[in-house]
Amino acid sequence: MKCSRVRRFLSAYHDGEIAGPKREEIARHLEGCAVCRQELEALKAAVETIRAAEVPDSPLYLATRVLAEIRQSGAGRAAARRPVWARVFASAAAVVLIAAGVWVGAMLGNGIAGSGSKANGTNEWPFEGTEPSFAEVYESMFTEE
Amino acid sequence: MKQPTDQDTELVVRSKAGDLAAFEELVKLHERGLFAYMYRMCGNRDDAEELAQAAFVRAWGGISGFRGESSFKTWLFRIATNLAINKRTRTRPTVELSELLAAPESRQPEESFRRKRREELVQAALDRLPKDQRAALVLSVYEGMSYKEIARALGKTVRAVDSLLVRAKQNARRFLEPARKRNVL
Ligand SMILES: [Zn+2]
Repeated sequence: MKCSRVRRFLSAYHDGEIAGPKREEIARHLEGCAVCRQELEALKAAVETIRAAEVPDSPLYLATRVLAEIRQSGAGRAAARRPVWARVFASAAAVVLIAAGVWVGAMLGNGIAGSGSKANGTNEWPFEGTEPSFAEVYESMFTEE
Repeated sequence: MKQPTDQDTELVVRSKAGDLAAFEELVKLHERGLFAYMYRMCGNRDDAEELAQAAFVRAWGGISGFRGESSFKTWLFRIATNLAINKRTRTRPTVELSELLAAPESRQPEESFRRKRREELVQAALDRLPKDQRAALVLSVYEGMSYKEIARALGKTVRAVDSLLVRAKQNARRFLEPARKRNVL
């Protein structure tokens, strides 16, 4: 693999978005190429510098303000005024939806688990869209260039 | 312990049924993350608070349209991203790198002084990025989102996210490297 091609994908490589044989191919190139290795180190250093910078804490009253604004606008009362039976029905329907979602998620999970997504999985949702993962897109980018 | 998203799912369901207390729980679970994201996007507390609050209020208003195709967090962040990109934030004087590097010696303890300077430099680097690059970088670096999740939060393709991140990192590096070389970071 050429250096220019490796460099183009170092960012995604470092973010863990490239998996399988392509990842190994890049790793092998890096073992033998000091220039690209240095480039990766510089990239890592920049990302780590950014990550290390702290953000001030969120204000303690944020939730209170949000709720106050919702109540003031009347949007909070509209839903609360619905009759009890309507709310019970909505909750029951929602339980059915969740159960269905979990089932679909379990069925889909076998096929797509972890495809291109980071290992932490904190944002997993039972429903998966049809958009391709980066790993799939990456394959096509590779063959184009 | 429940997974955060399971907890979200239940709270979303109750919020859709009009349960404002459930929505309040969602706000509490996500306020920290959303405020941090907005702070990174606009670089000051006042705008960050205003944007985070507006995003939550919109989320409540649109919760019936949320179909669970992404996590609640990604959906919320998408609303906030749109607000942040469209908002003209308070104009702050652009800090020159040379100014930051030449900051007068401080009497603060060494470590806290360095930390403060690092924060300023990083925020100055982020401030200089076009907003879409900034959003992609912040979601990747601080939120640990995958490219697919970032694509959803920004309403872009995965491929566009990859190229935004390549450019964002190049730009940030160009800005931060002189400071790193002078060992100020
Ligand atoms: Zn090379």
